[in-house]
Amino acid sequence: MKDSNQNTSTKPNGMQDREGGYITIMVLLMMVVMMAMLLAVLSGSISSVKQAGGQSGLIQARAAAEAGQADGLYTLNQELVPQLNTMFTTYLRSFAQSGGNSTTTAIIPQSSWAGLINTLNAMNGTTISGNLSGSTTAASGSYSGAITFSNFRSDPISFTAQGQNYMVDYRITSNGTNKAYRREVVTSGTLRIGLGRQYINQFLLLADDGGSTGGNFYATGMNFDGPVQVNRNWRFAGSPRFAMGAKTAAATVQMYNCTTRTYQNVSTQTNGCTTPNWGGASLQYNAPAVNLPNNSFSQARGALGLDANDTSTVTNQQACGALGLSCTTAAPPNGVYMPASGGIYIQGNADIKMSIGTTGKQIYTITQGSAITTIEVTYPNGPTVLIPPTGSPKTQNRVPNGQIYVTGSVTSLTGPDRSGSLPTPLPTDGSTPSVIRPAVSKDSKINIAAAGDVTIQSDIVYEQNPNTVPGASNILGIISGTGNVKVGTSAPNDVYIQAALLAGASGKGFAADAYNSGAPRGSIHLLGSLAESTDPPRGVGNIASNGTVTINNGYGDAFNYDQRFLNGATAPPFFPSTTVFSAQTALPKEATWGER
Amino acid sequence: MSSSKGNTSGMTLTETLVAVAIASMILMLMTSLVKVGGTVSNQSRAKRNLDDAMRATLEGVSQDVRASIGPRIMIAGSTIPSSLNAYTSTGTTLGLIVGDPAMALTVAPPTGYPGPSTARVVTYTTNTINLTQPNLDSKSCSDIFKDGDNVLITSDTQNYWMTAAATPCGTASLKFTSNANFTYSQLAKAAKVLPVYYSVSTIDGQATLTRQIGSGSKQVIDPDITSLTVEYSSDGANFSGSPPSAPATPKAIRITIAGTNWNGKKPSALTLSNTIFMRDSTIPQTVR
Repeated sequence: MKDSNQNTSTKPNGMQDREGGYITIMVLLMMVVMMAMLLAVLSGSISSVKQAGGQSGLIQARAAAEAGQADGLYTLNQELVPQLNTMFTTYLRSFAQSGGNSTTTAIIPQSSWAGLINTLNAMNGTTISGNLSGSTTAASGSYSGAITFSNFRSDPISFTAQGQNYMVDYRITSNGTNKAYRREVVTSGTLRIGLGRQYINQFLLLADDGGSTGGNFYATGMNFDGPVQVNRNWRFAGSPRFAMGAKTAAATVQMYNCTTRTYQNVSTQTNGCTTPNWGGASLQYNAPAVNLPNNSFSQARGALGLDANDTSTVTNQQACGALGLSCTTAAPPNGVYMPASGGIYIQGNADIKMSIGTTGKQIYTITQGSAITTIEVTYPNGPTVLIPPTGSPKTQNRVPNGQIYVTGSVTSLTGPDRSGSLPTPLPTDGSTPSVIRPAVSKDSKINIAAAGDVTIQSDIVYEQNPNTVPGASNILGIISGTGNVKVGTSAPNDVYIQAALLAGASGKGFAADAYNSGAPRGSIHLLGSLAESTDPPRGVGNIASNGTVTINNGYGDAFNYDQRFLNGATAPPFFPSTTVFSAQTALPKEATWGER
Repeated sequence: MSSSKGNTSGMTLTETLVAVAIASMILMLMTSLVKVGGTVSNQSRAKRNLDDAMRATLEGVSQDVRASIGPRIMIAGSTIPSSLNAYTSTGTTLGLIVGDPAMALTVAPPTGYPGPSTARVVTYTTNTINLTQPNLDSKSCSDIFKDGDNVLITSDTQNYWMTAAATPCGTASLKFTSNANFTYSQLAKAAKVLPVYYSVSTIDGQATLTRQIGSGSKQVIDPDITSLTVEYSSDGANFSGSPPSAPATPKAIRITIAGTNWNGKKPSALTLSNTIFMRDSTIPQTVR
């Protein structure tokens, strides 16, 4: 008989409750075990992540500290030189004015060394800071630190006629930070500061007299992308551009006033409608004057194989002796000579045509009246063959020293003729139009100097344009000792000249024949440098009421700096230097490195 | 008539045995799971610890390499003092010349410097050199140099080893145990250096990486690190196990360390490597 209220389970209720409990406990235990295993894996992963993060953080902190070291070294090597020149201005000017002997006398007197340390430690750039990755926040790491100087001293062994070295000990401390991680790197060493003579070709334009008294002015359209200094008589109209600023030894310059239509003496950076672009720098007034050589005796000695450091007049006896001639008191006969250890010496006036032969030979065709002499120079070690007007060729198994000297004037200096018309518009990237054929071989380093005028009657360009060929070594200097370097009337319009030019005699400069007559001739496209006593006009222009300038006669100036000349890194052989010294290099030598 | 219900709780013997057996099996399974989990956790921890220790070691060795000065490493056949010949660099050892910015002084010119142009006085030939002190860390000779210290004089591109004499410091001067013989330049520095030597040595019957300063006792870096390989490069690209011949200095050094951490019967092995490129000590003039 069955009770209808009884359930159909065969197990009593208590047993069911116990079974439920067992299962619950088992499940709970298994969950605990699973959780424990999961936690073990998670903790391992978290630890690994933290470890990697810590490693990464330390590496980034050290990287930040090393970036600070690089910043400090960059300051020492690249940014210090202009500040040094500012610091040394008084001493450099005094030494030049005193005519001191740099072989025996310190340019920077010992009495000033202690004070210079204080000035060095206070100058811009001694505090360094920055963020990695160029970010404006410190999220990726940042650094801060300082450069400290001590023990400024001279190096007497280094004193020569060309310059002197000075030493100063330095320490760069850089603290790198990346989130909670920090590293400090400290380095110490010695900075070698080199003072050297300023080579004349270090300036895109160096003039003693800007020619304002003769009506010369610098105007809109003129673009100077290298160092410029005009000692006095400087006049501006419109907006000429000076990409590296400019200097004048004078207290004032003249700037055109469009309202009064007159030139006014000012000591400011602009004046009304006259707004020269100083390239982010400035026009510096009262700079030390740079004096120019007024003869080419040094170059004459160089061509003869004599001591070019001797700037005294070359006597006939010295010239005859160097040329192996029997003359003593009389001058050597007119002609072209190649001394055994010098360059090329030309007695008399001459036309010189430069060209490039097969296999890169430099060829000079020298015409004196009806006599034609040809010289072929084979690089890199010769031979050099001189083919005289009459007689047999003479060969030397060497390359001449690069100095070509003419005792008279170079009545015509030319290169190859153009192969076609110039393109329109002209290149603006500093390249040479392809129709202009090169005159200076890529291996040539030449300085052409004449006692009298040098008249350029065609394009004179390099085989390798330094603007477009990295590492180009060809270089040309053109010097007139007592006359002008000028562009003649046979020169083409928009003439291209690639050289360092010098006409340092009083009142002389870089001129253009017939500059104030005839049709406008475009521009003189100079790539190189120009140093002259007086800057003569090379063209005539009108100034509109808004300051716009239009060329009516002659040439405009399109001067571009040969960047290889900066800080005296490159100069033509026997190119002269000034009497003023300047800081030219700052080279750090590291001694120790420490990390904390 | 009502049936009387007796007490029906409890398990039969069979049920109990079965329940116990099943519970035992489950517990055994869970225990083995816990054991496996524990083993994995221990191995993972051991590997992390090994990784941690090796990375720290590699960073420490690299830091010593970066702080090395002068010739940077000690090479057999170079001008190192004879007392340091046992600590030269090979494919399995690394001998470093470690300096510190606080432990260097500028060498002042010898008496009579520079002299007339026809008779220059540019050489130190005595056992005493002049110093400019204090340095930028305000340390003078007596703070830095002690009897018997190794002193490295770097003068322009030349390096000269000297040993400090007893009571080495005079008035702005430093005295050595023998005469100096070097050409003075305004770049000359006198630095106290630590010859630091890394090698794998047998300590308590086990190969382990050690660090030794000069002739001092060997310090165990980490007992788990059992191998050191050093490779040298003269051009920064090609490496070999032989250091360059003196007086050349390597452009780069690659350090490889290997270690093993035993956890029970299962080892955790790890190999780490780092290449340090030697910095130029002189910035060349800019070529334009």
